[in-house]
Amino acid sequence: MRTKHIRKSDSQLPCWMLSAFIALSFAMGGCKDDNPSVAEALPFDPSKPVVVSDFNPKSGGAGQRLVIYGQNFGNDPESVSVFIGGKQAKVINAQGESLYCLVPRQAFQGDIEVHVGNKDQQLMGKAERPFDYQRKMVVSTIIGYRNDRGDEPWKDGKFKDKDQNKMASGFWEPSFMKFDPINPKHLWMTFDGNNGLYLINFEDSTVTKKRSDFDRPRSIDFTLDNQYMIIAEDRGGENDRATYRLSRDRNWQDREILTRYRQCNGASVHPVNVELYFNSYEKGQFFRFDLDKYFNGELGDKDFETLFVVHDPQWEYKVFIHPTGNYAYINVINQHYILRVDYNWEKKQFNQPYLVCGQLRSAGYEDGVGSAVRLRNPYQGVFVKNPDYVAAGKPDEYDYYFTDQHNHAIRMLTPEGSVTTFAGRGSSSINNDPWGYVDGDLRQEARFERPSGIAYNEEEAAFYIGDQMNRRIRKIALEEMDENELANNQ
Amino acid sequence: MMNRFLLTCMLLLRITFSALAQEIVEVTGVVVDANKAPLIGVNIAVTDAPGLGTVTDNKGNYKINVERYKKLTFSYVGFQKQEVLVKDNLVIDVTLQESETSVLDEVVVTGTGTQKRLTLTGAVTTVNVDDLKSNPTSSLSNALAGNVPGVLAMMQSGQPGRNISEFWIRGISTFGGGTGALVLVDNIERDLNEINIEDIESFSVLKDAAVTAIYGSRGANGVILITTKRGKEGKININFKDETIYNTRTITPEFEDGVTYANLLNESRITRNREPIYQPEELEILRLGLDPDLYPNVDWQDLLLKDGAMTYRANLNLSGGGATARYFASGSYVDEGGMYKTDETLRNDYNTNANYRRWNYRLNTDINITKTTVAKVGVAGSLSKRNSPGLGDTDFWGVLFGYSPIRTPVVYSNGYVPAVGTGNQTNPWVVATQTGFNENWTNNIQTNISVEQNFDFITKGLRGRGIFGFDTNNSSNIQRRKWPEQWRAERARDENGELVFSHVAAPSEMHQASSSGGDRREFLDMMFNYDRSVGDHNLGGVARFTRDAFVRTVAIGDDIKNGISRRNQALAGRATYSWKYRYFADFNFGYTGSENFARGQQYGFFPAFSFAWNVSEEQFIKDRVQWINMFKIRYSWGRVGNDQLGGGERFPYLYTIEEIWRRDGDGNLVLDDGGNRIPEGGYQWADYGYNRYFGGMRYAQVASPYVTWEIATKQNLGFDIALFRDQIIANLDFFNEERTGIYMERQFLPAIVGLESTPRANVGAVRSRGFDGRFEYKQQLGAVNLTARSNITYSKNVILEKDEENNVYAYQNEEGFRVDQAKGLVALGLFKDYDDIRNSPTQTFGPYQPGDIKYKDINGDGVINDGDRVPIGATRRPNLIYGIGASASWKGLDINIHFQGAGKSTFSIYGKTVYAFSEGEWGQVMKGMMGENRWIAADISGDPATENPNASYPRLSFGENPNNFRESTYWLRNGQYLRLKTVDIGYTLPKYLANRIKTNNIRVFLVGSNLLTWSKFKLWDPELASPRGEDYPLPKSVTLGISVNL
Repeated sequence: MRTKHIRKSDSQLPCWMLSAFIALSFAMGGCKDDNPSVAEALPFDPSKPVVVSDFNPKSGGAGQRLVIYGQNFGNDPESVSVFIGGKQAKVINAQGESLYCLVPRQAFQGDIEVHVGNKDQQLMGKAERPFDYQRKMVVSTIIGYRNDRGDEPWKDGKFKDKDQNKMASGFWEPSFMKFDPINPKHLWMTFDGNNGLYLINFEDSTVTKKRSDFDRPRSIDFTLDNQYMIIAEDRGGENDRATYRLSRDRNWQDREILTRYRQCNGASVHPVNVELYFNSYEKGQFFRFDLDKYFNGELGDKDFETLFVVHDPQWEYKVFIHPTGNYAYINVINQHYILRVDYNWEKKQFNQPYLVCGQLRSAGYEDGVGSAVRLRNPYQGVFVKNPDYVAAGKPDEYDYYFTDQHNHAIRMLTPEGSVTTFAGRGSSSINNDPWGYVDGDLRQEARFERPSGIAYNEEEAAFYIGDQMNRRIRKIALEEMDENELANNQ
Repeated sequence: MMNRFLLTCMLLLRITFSALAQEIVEVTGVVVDANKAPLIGVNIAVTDAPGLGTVTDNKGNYKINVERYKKLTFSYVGFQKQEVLVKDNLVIDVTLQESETSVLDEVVVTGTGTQKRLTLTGAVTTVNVDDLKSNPTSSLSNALAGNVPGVLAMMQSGQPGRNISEFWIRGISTFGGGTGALVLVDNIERDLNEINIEDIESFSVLKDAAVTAIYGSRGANGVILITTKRGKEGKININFKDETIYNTRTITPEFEDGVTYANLLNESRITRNREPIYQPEELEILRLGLDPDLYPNVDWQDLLLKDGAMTYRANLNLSGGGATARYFASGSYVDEGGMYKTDETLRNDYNTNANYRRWNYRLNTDINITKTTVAKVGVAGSLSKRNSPGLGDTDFWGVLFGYSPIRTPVVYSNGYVPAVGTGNQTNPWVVATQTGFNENWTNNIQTNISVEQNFDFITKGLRGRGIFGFDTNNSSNIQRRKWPEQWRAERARDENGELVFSHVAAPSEMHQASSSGGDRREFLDMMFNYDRSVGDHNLGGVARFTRDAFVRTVAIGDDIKNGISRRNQALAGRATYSWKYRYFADFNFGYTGSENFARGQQYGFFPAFSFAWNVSEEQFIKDRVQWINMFKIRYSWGRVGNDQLGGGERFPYLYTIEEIWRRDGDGNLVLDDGGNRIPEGGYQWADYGYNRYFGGMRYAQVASPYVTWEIATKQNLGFDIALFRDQIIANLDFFNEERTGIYMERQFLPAIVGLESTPRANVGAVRSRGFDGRFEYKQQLGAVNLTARSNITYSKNVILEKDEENNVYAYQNEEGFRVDQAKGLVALGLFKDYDDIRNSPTQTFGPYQPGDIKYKDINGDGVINDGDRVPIGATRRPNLIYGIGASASWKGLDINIHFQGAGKSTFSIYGKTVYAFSEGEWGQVMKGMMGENRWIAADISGDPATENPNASYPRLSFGENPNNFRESTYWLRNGQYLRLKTVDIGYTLPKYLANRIKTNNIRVFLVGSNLLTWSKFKLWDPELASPRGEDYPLPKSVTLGISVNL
């Protein structure tokens, strides 16, 4: 460390003067160092036993910081290994009578062993009581990395690898995510400002760019027969493509334009009746396009109707339709609120929208109900079935999870209209900025920086988040039980 | 042919010279005092022959070679000079008489020349310059407090080169214009702090109208007159003084360590029902020091500050001369060391410490042109250099007070340089050592030439003097900045236990920027004095004409006004009459003008009348009470002006017109897509669909044609007393000043007047009253000389009139209260419980809980709001300054002790270390700030007794807390203090020892400054001007020095 070179004092006094100063030191108050630093730890002594007397805290999950107290831990963290529940813990530091490690994953048994010394002379101490290991929902990172200076390329590759060059990276634009309805191991992603269609393949843990000819793709959806993928593009001209379809049997390599208009922020297919709803940023138009008629060849690419206009020109929003098709939420990204619009089953179209949460033009961060809630760029949302609601027989069984992009959080909207923060904005120290890159407990620790895309895998009850500024794909799930998956991710 | 002629001429000349040369003889003798004791080291010089001379040996004998009919001058400190003509007698024994210095003979320098104190009718403090010399800093102003009656002073900071005191003669009497005194060095306005104190001959403070009226519109804030030393006829006199000073700090704020900080931080969150920031195991990691990267515990203060620093000061002066020319030449060097630690690896490249160096020189030459004409030429200059760390010049203390011990380590274990914030909230070690350095150079050259003519040949007692002078000042700043690459580690490690970094700031290589300033002052001063005595009637008259111009010469921008000289012109005069040294009457006037005002408002007449009655000269006193040497009563009344406008405003009688551009609600310019300003307030000179818009114009500032100077009407009643053959000396002055026509902006004109900008006017009035005095007592006990002395200055002002908004409650006006009086709410303690809150008036500043500050409902309306703000204390600037000292000397040993105190000062403290956690985690917790029993909720401390409504610190909070953190008596502190300002112990070598090494006088001395400070306020030095404490502490120092006279 360079600080060791800092001059203690460069005042060198001749001796005859020093003696004079001593005479006056009664008034000068001396120069004492009243800051005793932590005592130097003794090195490991093989002739003495290693004792584990206590640890703190008594319970926690993976990644929990654990302080272990005892004796004869030595002062070299390299020569100390700690096993919790049979899994090796990462030791950060050892200071004789205490050590600091991180609780490993899947340390379900919780028994603590501390090994000190090299291979020839290794002593072991055990804690009397086990660590109460708790399995919990955590934020983790599954894909991507960002090097210290942020100059890694945007490229395909493996989820994780020891060699960074083999890892996928990039992801620094706002994203949109959608699971393939046929294969839940395939997650499709696009990025605003990136020309690609990306396949996140959980079968072989790779990221592949399937196409490179998009222009500001803003959303992905599928037709009801799952044969076509519908992409929305955000382009400037009146006759530019707004939505188009790619077909599964051509391996998504074709393109058939559905509608043409300017500045589309997203397109969604009604899950029961086959209409396509999309919008334009231009005047906030909410468009309906009947796919049935389209597939029958009755409609041209301008044959869509404007159902209503959301407020004012330059309204950036995306529409997410409830799985039952009963209603949709409209995430108004650049005006910081969410609207609800109910479906009129008779007319086969949506009615007028009304406010659910947030307030027009009032960016902020506030949990609550209705207009008391403050959002800052709600981006993508996903409906997640809540088993409690099913058990209680509630009419609406889904919660709505959405990325609150500039609040750096994943938030949840219940059918009753209450908004809470689900994950992010943890580790509330060192700096007050709510953003950052921290994995772990959803609220205590985890941090995101501009999460945008979100997708939910019902099978594994896991969320996937496109974390824009951290340039990673994050995951929110219960800690895995499966060894293989763990191996995959490492 | 030519050569031969020249040779002949030279030979002839040589013969002539030989014939004129006098015979050289050796003169011997012995010099004794009145008791026939031989005097050792008496200077014997040949009059008018500089350089020739000798001293007596340890038996008083001397031997000197001299031409016949020359004069020998015998001089010795403390004895009267004697001259003897060398004729036939070659053995000259001399008896020197001890010089009798009496108060009656004391001479005072005033604006119209020197005069005997006895004849003085105005209030003038003469300072014994030796009393100022023990000041260990480079700035003379720091020596004023407690030494100079009539001056209130306050030291601003302890940083070398910035460690000056702000001072006010008889306090502050205005809220509009400048409050600074006029400082004249050798009659020319110059900076007090750049003078080498060893060059000073006399230092007078002119306080009342009788002595300042001649300065007219510039004299209202008092005048300081300094004259520099000049050569005296005689043998060369060499003085050398060398001082080495060790400085530490009077009080350095200390901060709590990381563990305490983290616990308090958690408490500040928990007690307000928020989640803690540090989990228990994290506190353990911090306590055990297990993770210095993420849970560091850094003592930044220890890392940044040295225990002390050295100052080195040397001074050499030479003086002497003959009857036709005399000289005084001096040079000095001062090197004040800063207390910042530096990075050893950069030591050979540059210095980031806060050092200050200054070189001074002065050359004063007096030349007798004719018998009655003396020309005096004075040249002086200084060059100074102040050094400081790149960002640290202003941000060093702010960062040190802000960056908590657990924020980041100094350097991460992988070598990355940490930072949480950027700019002035970054890593203190980076601010102090890694951001480059600044150099601040200033130099000035001061020149004055004067000619003095004695006009006795016209009429006896008429003298004239003309001075022309010019000064140039230049300053240059060079900033050399750089920045290391900085990183921040996330709060948590990743799953492999590695730190996760994010990039905070990109590195920047060293780059430089410079700025400079300069100014020039020209000065012309003509004065005629006339003194004549006719019997018992003494008459005197003075006429004086001065003119000066001051102009900025560098970086004057594009405003033409900046390049115009600030000029003043004055005609002043004085008439004195006294009878038998018993009754004195003076009339002074100044007719002065400032060109800053409109024609017709430029010139003003400032008269002053003063009278004195020396009671002790009355026959009945002389006969009956002989122990009264002097008892004089003085009274003066007069008018003086102050033409320093607030903010140095130029030409308020001119209006400014500007084009109108579109602005947003905050007054910022709105630009169109092309980045151009958009005109407004005009007219569209085109049909629909075309654009020919021309913008309007308006007054940016209306003219205020009748603005002029402030007028101070001053009265002074003074007493000068000397008793028992000057054993007791006292001066006491009472003053009353009414400042009217105070210059201010008229902020509260009704809108119906229709002005868009505020005109200026002379509308305010302030009265200040007080007293200053000095007392001295001398006693001789055997061989020990004892002196006790004290002085005091007290001043209190009240605003009589101010253009302000009319408040519902009279106590909210500034009128009727002091200038800058502390105002705030009256705190009644802390809320006891929720019942207490329910039963108390509603406080409207923000949410509050038990343990928060409870305020008094002053106006009884049941609501606590800004309407309950009242004057709660005095002013930050002390209204009372006093000094008490004593000195004793015994043979060669002398000791001097001086205490200085200040009172009638209160101030509100605030800032990030005062209002703990008010800026979140930015802000350290200062030791002692929370007192002994801060309020802690019982469910945190487990003890209901900690919910004490009289606790020393309210319930902690995190982030803003508008209820607690506002001006109130809770945060008001008493700024009074008393300090042991000087302890000076000196030893003068016995004469025979000094003579043995060919010197006259050698004194070694040890001086302690600011050794002890007593104050109710203990967190930082009570004199330090910063209400946040975030400034370089004042120095406490020990000086070891030697002075040698050859």
